[in-house]
Amino acid sequence: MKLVTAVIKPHKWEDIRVALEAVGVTGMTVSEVSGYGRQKGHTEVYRGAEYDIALVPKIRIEIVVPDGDVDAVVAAIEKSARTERIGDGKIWVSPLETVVRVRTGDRDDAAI
Amino acid sequence: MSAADRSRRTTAADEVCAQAYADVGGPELGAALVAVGGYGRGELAPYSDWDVVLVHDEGVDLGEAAARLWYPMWDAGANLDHAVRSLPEMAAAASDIRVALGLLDVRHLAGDPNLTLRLRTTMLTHWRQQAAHQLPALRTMTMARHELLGELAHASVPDLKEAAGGLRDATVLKALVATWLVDVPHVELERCRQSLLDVRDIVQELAGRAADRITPEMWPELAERLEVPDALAAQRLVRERGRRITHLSRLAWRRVDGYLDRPRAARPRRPDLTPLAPGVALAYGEVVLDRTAKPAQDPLLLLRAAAEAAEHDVVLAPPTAARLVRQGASLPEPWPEEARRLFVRLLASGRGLLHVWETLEETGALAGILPEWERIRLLPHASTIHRFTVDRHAVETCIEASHHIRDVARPDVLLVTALLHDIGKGSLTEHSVAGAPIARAIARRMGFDAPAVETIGTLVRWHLLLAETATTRDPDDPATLDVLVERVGDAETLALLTALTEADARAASPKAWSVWRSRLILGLAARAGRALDAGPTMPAHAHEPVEIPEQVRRGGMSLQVEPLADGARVTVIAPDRVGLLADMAATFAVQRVGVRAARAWSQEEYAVNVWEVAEAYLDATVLRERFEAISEGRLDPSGRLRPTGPGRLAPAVAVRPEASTQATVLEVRTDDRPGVVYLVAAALAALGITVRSAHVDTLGPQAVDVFYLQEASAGALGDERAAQAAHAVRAALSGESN
Repeated sequence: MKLVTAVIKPHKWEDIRVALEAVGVTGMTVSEVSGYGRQKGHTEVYRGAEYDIALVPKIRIEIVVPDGDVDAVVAAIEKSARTERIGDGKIWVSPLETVVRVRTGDRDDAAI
Repeated sequence: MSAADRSRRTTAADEVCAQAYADVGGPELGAALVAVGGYGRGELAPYSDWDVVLVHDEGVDLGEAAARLWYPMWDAGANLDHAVRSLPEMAAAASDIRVALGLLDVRHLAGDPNLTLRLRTTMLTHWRQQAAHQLPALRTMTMARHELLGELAHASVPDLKEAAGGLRDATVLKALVATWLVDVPHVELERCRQSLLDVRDIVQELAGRAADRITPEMWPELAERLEVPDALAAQRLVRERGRRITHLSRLAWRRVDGYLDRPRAARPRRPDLTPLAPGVALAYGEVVLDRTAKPAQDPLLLLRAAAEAAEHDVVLAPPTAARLVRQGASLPEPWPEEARRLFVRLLASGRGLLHVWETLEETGALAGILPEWERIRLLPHASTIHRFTVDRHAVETCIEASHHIRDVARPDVLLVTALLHDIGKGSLTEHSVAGAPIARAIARRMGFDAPAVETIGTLVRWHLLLAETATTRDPDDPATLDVLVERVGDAETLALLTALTEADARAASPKAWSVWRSRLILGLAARAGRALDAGPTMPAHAHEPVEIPEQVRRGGMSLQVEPLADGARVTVIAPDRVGLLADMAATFAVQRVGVRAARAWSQEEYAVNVWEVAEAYLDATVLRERFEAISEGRLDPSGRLRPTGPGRLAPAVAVRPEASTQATVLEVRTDDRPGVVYLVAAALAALGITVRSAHVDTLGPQAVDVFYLQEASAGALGDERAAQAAHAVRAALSGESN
C-alpha cells in the first residue's frame, strides 16, 4: 500500500478528479493549502495596499492505493494536472504500514 | 394539524394528570398540580414534554402522593419533566429567568385551585417588580441564542423553536408584554405563533421525535400538509412568520432598551424630539416625523427618515413608515439626485441598515421604492454555502460593501450593485443573466447617468466572474486574463468588481472568503489590474466659460442664487486670490448649508465657483455679507468648524501625479460633514497653494473631493510640496493642530 500525495493548481482539481475516477479511485482527502516551490510567491501592490502573495494557494490530494495501482494513479494525476507552466505542482508516493477501516475493523488492502 | 389537535392532546394529558392526582389522594387544600411552559399554554406538540409541578403550601403533608403521583403519567408514555416545590421555593426558583418565564404560563391541573391562583398572581407580580433587573439578563440570553441559531426567516436549516423569530421569541415577547413596559400587536403575534405551532406539529410528526429543525427534505411534505402549492411556498410561509416575529421582537427590545436606559427621573410626559433632518426627528430612540414634515409634498421624506435611522442605528418607527406609505408623495421617475443620494447613504450605513430595511419591508414602504424586491423576498438559496435567504444576503452584501467605499471611484455604484447583484434569482434563467437588465432598469429609474447604468448592468452580469475564474481557470494562462479584461473593460469597473466579489463572499459565509480563496481571487484581480494598466483614472473636468459680469471686472464680486428642484445653485465670480475658495466654503459651513457638489476654476484673472447646496431658500444678500465678513477677517470660522472627533472612517488623502501635467491633483475622501471643503481649502491657502479647480461630490456618506493645485506662481507642485499639502489636509480633516 502506498500514500499518493499531490499538490496541484486549484483550477485543475476538477480535471484530476475525473481522471482519478476513470482509473478506479473511489475516495480521497482534499485540502485547501498554501505554499511555494520554485514558482515562489512575491509581493504586489494592489488597490493601494501591499498585498502579500508569498504563499500561493494550492490543492493537496491524498489517496491511499494498493501497490499495483500506484503507477496508474500517479500517471492520471500527472497527465491531468500538467499545464506546462511553472507551479503545476508535485506528486510524491510514500509507503504505508497499516490501513484500518474504522467502521468494520478491516485491515490493509481490504480497508482501501 | 391545528390548534384543535393541540388542545385535544392537552386535554388528554390533563385528564391523565388529574386522574393520577385523584388516585394518589392528593390533598384538596394547600397543594396543587400545575402545568407550566408550553404545556401550561395548552400547546402540546406530538412529542412535547409535559412540564408539571406539584406545588404546596409550607407545612402541608403530601404523604406518599409526591412519590407515587408520576407513575401513571410515565405509564401513559409522557416525556415528563416534573418537580415538587413549596410556594416559597417556587418564588425563589423564579430568580432563574428560564424558570420565571415558564411560570408565567402556570395552569391548574388538579388540587387546590386557590393555590394555583395565588402562585400565578405571585409570579406575575414578581415578574413585573423584577423586570428592570431581569430584562437585561433575558436580553443577553436571547441574543446569545440568536447568535448561535440564526434567524428562522433566513437560516438554511431553520429551528422553529430557538431561532430568532421562532416560538421561543414569541413566548419572550409575551413575557415582555407582561411587564407592562412595552406592547406589541397581539393579534398579529398570536396569528404568527399559532401558524408556527402548526408547522412544528407537522415537523415532529415527520421526524417521529421532538424535532424543531426543518431539514431541506421536509419542505415538500410540509407544503402538502400545509396545503400550499410547493416547497418554495412552504418556505415563504414559515420564513414570513419568522420575519414578522423577529421584527416585532426587535422593536420590543429596542423599546425595552430605551426604557431601561432612561434614568427614572428623566422620563418626561411630553415627547422629547431631537431634530435630525428636515421633517425628521429622533424621539426615544426612534426616528419619527416632526411637526414641520409634509409627507404629501415631500417625496424624499421616507428616504431621509430611513437614511437618518440607519446612520444613527436606531429604529425607523413603523407607524412613521406606514404613515409615509399611506400619505407620502411618490418619487418622480427618474429619481431626483437627492433621492439617490439618500438611498446610497441608507445602503452605506453599515449594520444600521438591517433593521431599517426590515421596517421598510414590513410596512410595505419598500414596495413603493423598489417593487422588484418582491422577486427575491424570503427566497431560499439553492447553494448550501449561503447562510441567508437571497434578500437578506443582498442586505448583508451592502453592509460588507460599505467597508469598501474608500477603495472604489464610485461607492454609489458599488452599493446599489451590492443590493441588486442577485435580483435575477428565482427564475429559470441563470441569475446574473436575468439580473443585468432588471438592475439596469432600476438604475435608470434611480436617475443614474448612462455610463453608471451600464457599469451597474455589467457588474450584475459578471458578479461571479472574478471568483469563478480565480477558482476554475489557470491564472498563468494569458487567455484567462483576456476574457476577464474584455468583460470588465476598465480598471475602475475591475476595482468595483473586486470589492463586490469580496462583499458578496463575506456576506454568503465566512467559508466563501477564507484566506485561501481570497488569495486566489485578489491575486487574479491584481493581475487583471496590471493588464488593464490600472492607474487611477481621473474624470476629465471641462468647464463652460461664463460671462464675467461688469461689477467683477471693476473689482467687485458677483453672487447669484438659483433655486433647483431640491436645493439651490450658487454661482460666485470674483477676482482670483489664494483663499477665495476657503472663504466661500466657510460661508456655507457657518450658515450650516450642506454642500453637495462644487466646481471651481479660473477664467482669465477671475475665479468662478459654482456650488450646489442642499438648502432651497438662500438669501444672496445674507450670503454676501457673511462672505465679506469672513474674507475681511471680521468673522473667524476656524474655531467653530474644527472637526469635533474622529469620523467613521479615517480621511484618505492621495496625490495623483499621473492625472495632470499642468497641476498637482489631490484626491480627498472623508466623511461627509459640514465644513469639509473649508478645512481642505483653508489648509491649502495657509500653504500659499492656489486651487486651480475643484470638484466636490458627495457619494453616499462620504465626500469625494478632487483639487487641481498649482503654486501661486503657477505650475504643478514639486514632490515635496505635494506631500506637504497632503499632510496638511489630512491633519486638518483629522482635527490635529498642524
